[in-house]
Amino acid sequence: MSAAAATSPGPMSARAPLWRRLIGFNLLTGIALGVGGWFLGHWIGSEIHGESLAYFAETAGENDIAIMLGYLLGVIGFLIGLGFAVYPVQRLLGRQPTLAERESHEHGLLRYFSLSTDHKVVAKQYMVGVGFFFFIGGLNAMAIRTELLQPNTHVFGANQYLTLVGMHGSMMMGIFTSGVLGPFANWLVPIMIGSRRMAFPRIESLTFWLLMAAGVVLITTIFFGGFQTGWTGYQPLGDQGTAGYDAYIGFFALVGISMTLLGFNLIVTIVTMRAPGMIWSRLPIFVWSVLATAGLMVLAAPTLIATLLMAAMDRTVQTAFFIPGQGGSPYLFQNLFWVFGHPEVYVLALPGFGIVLELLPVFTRKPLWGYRLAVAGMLGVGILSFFVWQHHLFVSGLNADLRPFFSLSTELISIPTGFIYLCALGTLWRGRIRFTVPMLFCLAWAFNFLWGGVSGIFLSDVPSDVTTHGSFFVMAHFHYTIMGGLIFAFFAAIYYWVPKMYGYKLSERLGKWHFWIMFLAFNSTFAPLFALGFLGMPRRVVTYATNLQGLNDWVSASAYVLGLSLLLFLANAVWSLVFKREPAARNPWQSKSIEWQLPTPVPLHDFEQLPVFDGDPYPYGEERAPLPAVAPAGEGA
Amino acid sequence: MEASAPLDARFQAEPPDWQPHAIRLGGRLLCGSITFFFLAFLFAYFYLLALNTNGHFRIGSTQPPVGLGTPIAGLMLIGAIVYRLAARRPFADVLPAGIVALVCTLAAVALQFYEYTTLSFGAASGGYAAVFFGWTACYAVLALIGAFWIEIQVASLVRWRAGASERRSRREGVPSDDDELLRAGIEASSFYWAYFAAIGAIAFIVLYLV
Repeated sequence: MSAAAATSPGPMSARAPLWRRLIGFNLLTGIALGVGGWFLGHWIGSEIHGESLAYFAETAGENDIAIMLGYLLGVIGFLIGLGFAVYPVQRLLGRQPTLAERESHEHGLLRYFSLSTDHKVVAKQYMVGVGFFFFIGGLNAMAIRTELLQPNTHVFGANQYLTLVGMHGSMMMGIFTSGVLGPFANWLVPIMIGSRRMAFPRIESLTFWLLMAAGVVLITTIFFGGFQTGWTGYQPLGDQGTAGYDAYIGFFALVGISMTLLGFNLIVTIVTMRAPGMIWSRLPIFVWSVLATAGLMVLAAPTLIATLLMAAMDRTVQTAFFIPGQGGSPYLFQNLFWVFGHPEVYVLALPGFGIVLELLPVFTRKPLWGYRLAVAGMLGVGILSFFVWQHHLFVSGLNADLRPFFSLSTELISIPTGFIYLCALGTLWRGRIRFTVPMLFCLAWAFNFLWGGVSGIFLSDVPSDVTTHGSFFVMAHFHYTIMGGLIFAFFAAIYYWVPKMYGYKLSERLGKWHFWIMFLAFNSTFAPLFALGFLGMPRRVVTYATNLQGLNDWVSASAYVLGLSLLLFLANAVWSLVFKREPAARNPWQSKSIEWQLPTPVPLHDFEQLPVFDGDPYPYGEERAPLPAVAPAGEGA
Repeated sequence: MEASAPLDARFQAEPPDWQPHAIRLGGRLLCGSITFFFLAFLFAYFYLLALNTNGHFRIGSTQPPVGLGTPIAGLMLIGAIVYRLAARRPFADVLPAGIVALVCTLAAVALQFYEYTTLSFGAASGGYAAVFFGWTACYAVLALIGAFWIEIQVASLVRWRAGASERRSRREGVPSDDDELLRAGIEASSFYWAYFAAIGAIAFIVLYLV
């Protein structure tokens, strides 16, 4: 495409009337084709299921083949409606289209509702999309705590309760795999390494829309009886479950595909598209954390996809992977799930480490302490995470000879994690700390993650794990790790980078209120769960011993306050970004990172000239340290 | 071509080696992903074999016909070897090799589905049968997806032969790096395909011969 063609308005430009712009490849068309695809798939499935399955369909009132095919064709229709088929068809014909037409023709709000190849647009799509499902997952948590206000069932039945638990866990663990990488890595990585884009921009967009389709598929479980397995989808509950479990399979399979592609795209971008001078030892620590995370995604998520395909085949074509009566084993599912599941934990945690280490030098005005140690820690955590999965199966009848190995490997992983923590503390040591909102969240991360990490060592130890397995102690541990680690870092990133991403300031005062309420309510909610676990309260059981009601009521009340603090954040975001819209300064934190040297908001193509990097990424405290030289692109995003 | 970079003259062009390098690395990463995907089936095979729950790893006669398995694996290997060997030769030599790889793949997939109709056991015939159906069905579907990638190279080569690339670059007034991209696409897809065929060979050994 010529320069003239790239800049001239196309048929779908902003000048066309709204009705014209609504016809074509966009979300509306995607939804229409998605719904149509679902009915088509369901109809085909109803027609083709054989006589051997008729019994199941009639007795259970469901046909898993029809439902699975419905999901499959529904998602394909959705993607076609968004425009994802255009490029493959063109390539199939041997044409080599460019991306310029997509980037140049859509402006304004509509570009957020279709396939976009601008990494900044995709990042904002992720921000809103992930936020929406985080909100739904949070509502589920509130419903869970409401049910646990009394020792006996009083609001939801046992099945509904288990579905709520499963939806909450799946939503948080599934959608939030891209919680940091989606909005922040997509937005920051190309800029931080001096590129204008991701290596495969259409794949970048595809990962987002797959994730949104996954979220919708999960919610549809409520129409099919829900699923009672929790987020881990354990067998034999899965094979025996209602059609709601099909939604679980569809959801996590789509999440797995999205994760694989996102990781793939990030690795390729970081390895191949670094600007001159951006050698490995100058790579920002956040990018290192993204690289380590992406490696886990590319390798671990395919195992999940294969496992879920096995589960789907058990339910549709009557294979027996997980059915012991026919030569299968439910423990096969557990093993395979955790081969994915434990790296998944670090998929969630590593980006949080990266954010904190990226922000600490800015707010302590010191170089990052132990840059290489931190990198080694991240890579070490990533590699070791593939060798610890069986600590989730210590009570499953696992061969006793294997226990010491997995106990040791799990304890070993605390060493590289400790490297990272040490680097955070070393950076804080004697720093000139500024207690801004992002910094407060970073400090809270340090506090919370310590609790999460130390309680994790208890769980790596076999005798201790056998005592607390399946109890609220485990739940407290992973909430401290994931929510205390990732979510607090996520909010640090929001308060730090959103002014640059959106061009408007967030209210500092409301931010501090948000932080303090959230921090106190978080600890008030989850610290008592350690005690509840030791007192014998099991997970995923709707009733509990009456002597535990006092602590449970305290936890529920704290959880409501925690929920309110998140609403306060939402109010801050809406007020600041939609109503008040006070323009953000170019570099309000006096950061020396490259993204802050660009105008606010960042122009469409980021730079006119590719930047040249020639110095330390964290030259804080060095008076004459050079800043990255950038020539920003002229037009606004 | 994934040229997202703006083409306005005031923008410095991206280094021409970025995208070809990205395509080549992408091919290697895909190999890593499918390794872990099929490792799950390999793990399932040995796990269920070791457990042999209720003696039901194999229920009844569950030996698939080697006479069909051999040509399936053989066709995949032949196509991959021919395509890989041609990948570093001039474009004119790659085109027939790509067509051979495509035809071999489609024939292998067709044979695979034919085999399902001739088997003496069903999907419910124990742990082995589950792994057999799961592994081979997934392999066939991924083979079709991979064939799509090879078809793209073949279609691009057909256009290249017709001189479309040269005309296009003249029309758009920008230097063409299409040849380099095409070369990268062929190299990456042939590498991936060779790796994928090797997984097929392992599947053949495990499912038919062990």
